[in-house]
Amino acid sequence: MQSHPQASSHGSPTGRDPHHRGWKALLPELASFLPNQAPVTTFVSQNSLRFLEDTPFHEAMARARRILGINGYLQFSDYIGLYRDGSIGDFDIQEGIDRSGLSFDAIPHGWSAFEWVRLFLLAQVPCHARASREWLVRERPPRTLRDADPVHVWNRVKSLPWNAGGHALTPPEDLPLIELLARNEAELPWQRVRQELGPLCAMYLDRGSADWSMPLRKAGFLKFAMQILADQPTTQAWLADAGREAQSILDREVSADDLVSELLEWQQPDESKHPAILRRSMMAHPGWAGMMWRLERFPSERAEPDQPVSLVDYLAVQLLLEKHLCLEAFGRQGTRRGSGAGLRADLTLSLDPASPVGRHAPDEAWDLFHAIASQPERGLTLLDDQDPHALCLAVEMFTRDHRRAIWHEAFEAGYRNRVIAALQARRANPDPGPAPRPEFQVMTCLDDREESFRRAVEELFPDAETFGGPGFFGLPIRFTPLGQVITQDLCPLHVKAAHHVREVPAEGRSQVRLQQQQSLSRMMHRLDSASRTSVSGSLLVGLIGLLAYPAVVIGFLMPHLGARLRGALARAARSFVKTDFEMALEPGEGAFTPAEQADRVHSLMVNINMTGPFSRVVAFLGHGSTSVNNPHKSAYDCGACGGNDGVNNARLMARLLNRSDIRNEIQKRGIRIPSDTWFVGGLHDTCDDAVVFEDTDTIPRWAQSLVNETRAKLNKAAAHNALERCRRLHSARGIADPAPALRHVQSRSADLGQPRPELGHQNNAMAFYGPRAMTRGLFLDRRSFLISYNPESDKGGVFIERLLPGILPVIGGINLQYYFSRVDNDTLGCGTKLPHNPVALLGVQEGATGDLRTGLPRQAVEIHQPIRLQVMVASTPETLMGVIERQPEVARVVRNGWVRLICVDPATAKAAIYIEGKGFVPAGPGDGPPIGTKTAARSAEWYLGHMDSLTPALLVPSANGEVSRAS
Amino acid sequence: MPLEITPDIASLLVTLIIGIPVATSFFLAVSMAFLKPTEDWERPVSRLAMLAMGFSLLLVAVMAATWLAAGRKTMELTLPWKVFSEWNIFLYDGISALLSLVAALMGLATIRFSATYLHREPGFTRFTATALLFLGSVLGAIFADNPVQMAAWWEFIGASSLLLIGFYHERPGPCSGAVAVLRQYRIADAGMLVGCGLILANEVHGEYGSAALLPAGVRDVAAIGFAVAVLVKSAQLPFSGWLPRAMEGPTPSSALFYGGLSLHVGLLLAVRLHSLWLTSPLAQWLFVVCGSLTALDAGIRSRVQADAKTALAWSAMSTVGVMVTLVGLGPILGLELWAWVVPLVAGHAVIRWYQLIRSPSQPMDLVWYRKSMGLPLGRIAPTPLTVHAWILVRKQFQTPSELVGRLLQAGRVACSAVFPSHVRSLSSLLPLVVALAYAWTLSDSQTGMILTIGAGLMVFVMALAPFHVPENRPMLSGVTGACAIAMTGVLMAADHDFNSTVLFAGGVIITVSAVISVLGLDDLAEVLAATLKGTTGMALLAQSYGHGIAMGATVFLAFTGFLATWLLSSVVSRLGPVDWSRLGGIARQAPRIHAGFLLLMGALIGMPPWISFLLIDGAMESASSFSPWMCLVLAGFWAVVAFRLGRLTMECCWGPPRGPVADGPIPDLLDREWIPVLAVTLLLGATGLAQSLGVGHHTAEHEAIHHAASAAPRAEPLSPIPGMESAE
Repeated sequence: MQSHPQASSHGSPTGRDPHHRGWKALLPELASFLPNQAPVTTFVSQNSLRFLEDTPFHEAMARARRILGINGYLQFSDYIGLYRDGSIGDFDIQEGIDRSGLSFDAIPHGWSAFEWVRLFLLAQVPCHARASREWLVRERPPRTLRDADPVHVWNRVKSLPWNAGGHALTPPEDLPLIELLARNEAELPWQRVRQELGPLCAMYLDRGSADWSMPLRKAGFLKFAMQILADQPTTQAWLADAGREAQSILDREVSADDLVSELLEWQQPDESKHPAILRRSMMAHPGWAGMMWRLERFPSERAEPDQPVSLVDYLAVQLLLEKHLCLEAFGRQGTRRGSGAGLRADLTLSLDPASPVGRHAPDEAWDLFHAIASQPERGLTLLDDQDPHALCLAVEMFTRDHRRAIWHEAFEAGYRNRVIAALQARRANPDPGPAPRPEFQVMTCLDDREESFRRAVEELFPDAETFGGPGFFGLPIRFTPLGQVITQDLCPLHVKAAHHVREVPAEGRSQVRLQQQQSLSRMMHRLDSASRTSVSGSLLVGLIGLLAYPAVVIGFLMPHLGARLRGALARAARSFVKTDFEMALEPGEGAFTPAEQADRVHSLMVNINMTGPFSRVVAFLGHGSTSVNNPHKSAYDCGACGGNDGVNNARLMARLLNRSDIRNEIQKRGIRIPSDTWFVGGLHDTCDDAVVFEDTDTIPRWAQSLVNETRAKLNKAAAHNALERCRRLHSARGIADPAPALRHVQSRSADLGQPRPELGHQNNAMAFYGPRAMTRGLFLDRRSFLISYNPESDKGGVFIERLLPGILPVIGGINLQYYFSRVDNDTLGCGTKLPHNPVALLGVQEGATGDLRTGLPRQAVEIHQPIRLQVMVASTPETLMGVIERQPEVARVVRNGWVRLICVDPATAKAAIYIEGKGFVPAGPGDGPPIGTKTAARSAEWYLGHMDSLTPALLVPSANGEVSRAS
Repeated sequence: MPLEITPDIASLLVTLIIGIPVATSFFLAVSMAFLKPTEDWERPVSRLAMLAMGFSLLLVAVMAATWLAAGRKTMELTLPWKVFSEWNIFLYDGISALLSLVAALMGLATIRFSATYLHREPGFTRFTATALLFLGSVLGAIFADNPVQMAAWWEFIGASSLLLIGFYHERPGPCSGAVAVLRQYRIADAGMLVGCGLILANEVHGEYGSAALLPAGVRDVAAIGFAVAVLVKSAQLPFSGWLPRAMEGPTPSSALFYGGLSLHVGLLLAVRLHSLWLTSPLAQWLFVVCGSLTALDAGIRSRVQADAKTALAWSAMSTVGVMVTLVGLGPILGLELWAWVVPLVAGHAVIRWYQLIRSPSQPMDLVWYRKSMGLPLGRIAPTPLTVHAWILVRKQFQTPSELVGRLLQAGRVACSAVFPSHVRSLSSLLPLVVALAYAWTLSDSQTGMILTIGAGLMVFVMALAPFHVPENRPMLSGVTGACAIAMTGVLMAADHDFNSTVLFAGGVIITVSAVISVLGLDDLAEVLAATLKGTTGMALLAQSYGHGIAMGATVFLAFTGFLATWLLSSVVSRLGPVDWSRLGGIARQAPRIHAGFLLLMGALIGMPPWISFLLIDGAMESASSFSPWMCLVLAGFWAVVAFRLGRLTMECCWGPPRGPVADGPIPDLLDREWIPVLAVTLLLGATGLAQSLGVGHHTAEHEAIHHAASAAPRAEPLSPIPGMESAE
């Protein structure tokens, strides 16, 4: 418990002034850079760069690149590829220049801003080492310059009067000693520190991965780690030294705060540098530091809430290990000096002052050379006609970050304009819509993955109606599943779980069956852990090992058979025990009184405009995802249910709506539900595309056949949905029918060797708040979150003011997490899944010695096109301005451009985009060349045979099949 | 009804079983060298690999079935129809039958698993090619007829494991993991080298049992060498640290190597050499003590380890520890316990493989278990007494292990201090000095004159080479030139009545100076030069015994020198003067330069058993005539040189880009530049093959002598394993 502030402020043996601890006061700010991810068992997407949200987007990206080395955009070559395949047009580049908010003061004479920008945007600059540029120009010159003597051109460009040296490097005195060491040493010292630090953190924070725990796990991380360091034998001299100091720290009973100060002072006597050093130290192992910081703030996520966790403890251990590693390195070089300051002086001296950067031509020259090469006729005139100083200035003012911002805005504009054009085309050619009393109604989560499912339902059953809303169905419950003590908060992160609901075995044999199930799992678990011990393991492996051979043959050489066996087992297990819900009905903590129930139900129904007429069967479908060998499984589940599947909320919703008291209550408020309407809750599995209904034993006889029919219809739609998903799967190439597609996705969900069980939210790009009529029959390529909302019944914008801040944090978080995990997978994502090693039920690390990795794996984002969420709302600019002014949560992200807010007029489908400082300005293809939206009779006609992203298309069932892809 | 299977058919089957995966791997590697693999390769590559492994598995099954039907006779096989050789190179018995089935089945399952698991991974083809090489080598080791053959496949297993551990060579973790494994593997290889060298030197050839026929003193040294090899490869204490570090590759490779096969290769050797252990109480106790300590230590570690893969690695080690103990305990108790190890290996391999393949499920499984049992997720159980006791016992080892650590550290510091750079530069001229001294002893003024003029000419030509590296030029040119000259001199003098003492002393001096200077170096170019020098020393040692190895050594040194110069200067021509100690990340940026360096490293350290292996082997024979203990020292020296060279090559090639290439990739070798590298490699390989066929020891006389000598001990033949007997 050394880390408690009060303990440290007295017990300081050195008796320093509190104000000397500059770093301590700044700690929360310094730690804001750390990843803020919860343990991976409940993975919920959120903006990875949340701490920068108060800064305008492009500025934040430039800052992130400068401070943290994070790349916030695609690579130039990716954008050029998108330009070449037509996803970005010249018109979009023009819009990109406007939207980026850059002004062009320095442009060469006779050039327009557009020409100048385009010259650089289309330059294909090879990203080779600076030092090899001479070799490249000599041996591999750009093809277009073959006639113009590339070496001569390069020499001219190089000799222009460049203001070289714009590289702002961190001064060496702000760097941790170990980083200076890394610049001097061939071996990477962090790796060696992490090898010791990682297991210590894992063993301390372990939430149940190991069988046995190490001693002192409740004594604070510092004491725990020091004791292990002091006790362990090692052949590494620096670790032995560290162990000796650890023993003396234990004897001295020094607090973590003092220890950190001491160690910082050891490596840098100047205290004003400490915060900067500490920040960079934290960034050496951001995963573990971030987890410590997270668990310090969220005790409920710890192994046990009363286990002390503190970032300062962790930092003390890290700095101690670093100190001894630095000392050892110096011992090796034969200049052993005891003081860190001395080492720092030595290391700084040995840093090469004439760094390679200084010796070579600046990047600007290299960019200009390739810009010239991209359009030699026009480009070469630059060297002859322009004043060299002005030319250099113009190039230097137009930085690479500017170019990235323009490219990115152009890319998004290209997508946005095509969507708006499609909405306008739908407006001009409206969809007939469902029958007056729909065949059936189904409400799904607003998830982008349900877009294609809803479209498939509507295409196959034109008389049916679909709704989209938050996947927790407006029921923020703390749920205790059957036979468990672990509760789940089935609601978005920013919503407080207000009601406690327990699942209990239903009457009859369920209690006994539950116990049978439990004894089976206990036996399996015992067998597994026994096989891992040395003595019983050795006896067992000879036996179970031989039993494992059939599993190997079936599981790996006949995967589909394995999938079917596993599916059958899972089905049997699911229907094994019947269950019921139990909740406190009297007012009090966690209660869910009938009045509250009616409130919740009613407010969801008016929000999503489900106010009648009602069909005879109404299905609420939560969604979840089944996969194996996937530590990030919960990332595929419902973000609105806190990273769990949404089936229990759907069940509860249906159960409530089937109760007559609730129906009476909401009838008083104006929603009349006919007595021949039955509500049913279920689950849409987004991985194996199965739709199952729960609580089927409670369905009255009159509704049973209707419900079964509806389930069959929904499953048929799900098979079509599977076909649409298969178009993007490499291993499903050539599948053109729903049945094989369904088989494919089923075996995928059960395949141990499948790192991409499904594609998740990849390619999400927009959210649409508005009546389904505006988007029904539009092929949106699984890229849109769809929220049912009726502006006509929402006079004064009350509902939208509730819906925007309620949902935006969830979908904005998903979008930005995908965005950043895609553009910088190494830093903000967790890299490739293949070497991942689950650790301490907290997350994954790479192999045995990697840092804890946060963010999404590469396999989950590789086909994602990073586009900031384009939130389109069927409303008026005035209403939305009101929301922005009153809702700080919305204002923050919209004003700073972390999501784009677009107002779409419900009557005319004219669009206006919010630009900070200008308000809503007209958007869309209106003033540019018209974008022809293609039509198709069915979705499948449009997508079959294409693996990449498709432009929106209008589905007109009567269209006579003339389909051509947008160029 | 016993079915007859002719030796020719059997050896054809075995050749195909090993050859198909290896040839497929070679085909993929060559395709990768000239064409850039794209995502479109995946399907054909995985089909081809599955076809190859499937075919291999089929043949394994056919072979096993026929062998069972034919009465389970132990067969020693030559190459089919005795092409190339008259010697037995394959052994087929119950052990090979069972283990080859296990290996081929797991190989096929792993390849099938990786086909989807590694989809869209940039290194898909590289992984498949390496995995196939690994599987082929494991099958080769299973079928090997004698320790020397086993050593050859053992090296291939080591090399391919290394490449797979460092599969993600842009990250520091896998790199340092691979280097840590390399360090331990070289200890194992040194042990293997000693054992094999002594067997070859004493000309007791043939199957494993003959190792026991060595003269008593020599036999003890050989047994220690082999025992160390077994302990390292099975990750037993005190060499147990490498296994968790090896978990850095993609899940299927970790499963295959460290759950499934690699970990058991050491046990295979231990089982095969069971008659050797009978003669060596030291080895028996080594196995018992190390094995049981590992079983306890790793067993407890696996239960406190909080990450899934490392925990599995420790539990695999603890089980293997039990098996190693069994091997050692057998001779002590007078029981044939080794025979029980084989079925245990078969069961253990597949269960660990399966558990490792499933390790990403661990959180889901645990959460599911805890949920379904109504247990809370997070839990801090009181620490069991066992853990407290374990910590207390481990604490007792603190002082000795720290002492070892300090000694190693002090050694490195001392070595860099002993040989400052100008001394190093001078010492690279040692081979030249030795060669000239040798020429002098010939008292043949004509030869001496030619040598001197030739040396001057060579140094002059090398000095003109376009290195652009002021500090490296004299060094490299001097060394490569000198090595070539020295060896030319030896070659020319080979017909003369020579003074082998000069050669022997010169070889020892050169080798030792190379080892000492290599220890203090952090510069790839200089370590390459020092390794060349060390190889020269080894060649002189070998020649002093009179093996006529000079021709091969000359070719080898000239070509490796050429290759080194070529690769270094190609990097330099792209980057200008280079600080080699600060170079990193070539592998990702310039795969061909990287491949060239790896081939060069392999050639120099004899990792795949190329011609340099013969130099070392010759040197072993030469040294063993002096004292068998000298072999241990020499092998240790060679392990040090190889480790340093390997580490520096990998540091330059692997890891995150540093130094001059931090700001972008360096342009790769062009097609026309790549051709000489491949050509030299092929030539070296061919020379190695020719040499190995040329210096075979299995002559008819040897066979006769051997059979006469081994008639008595062979009364205890390699009996089939008990499990197979009872199956009938």
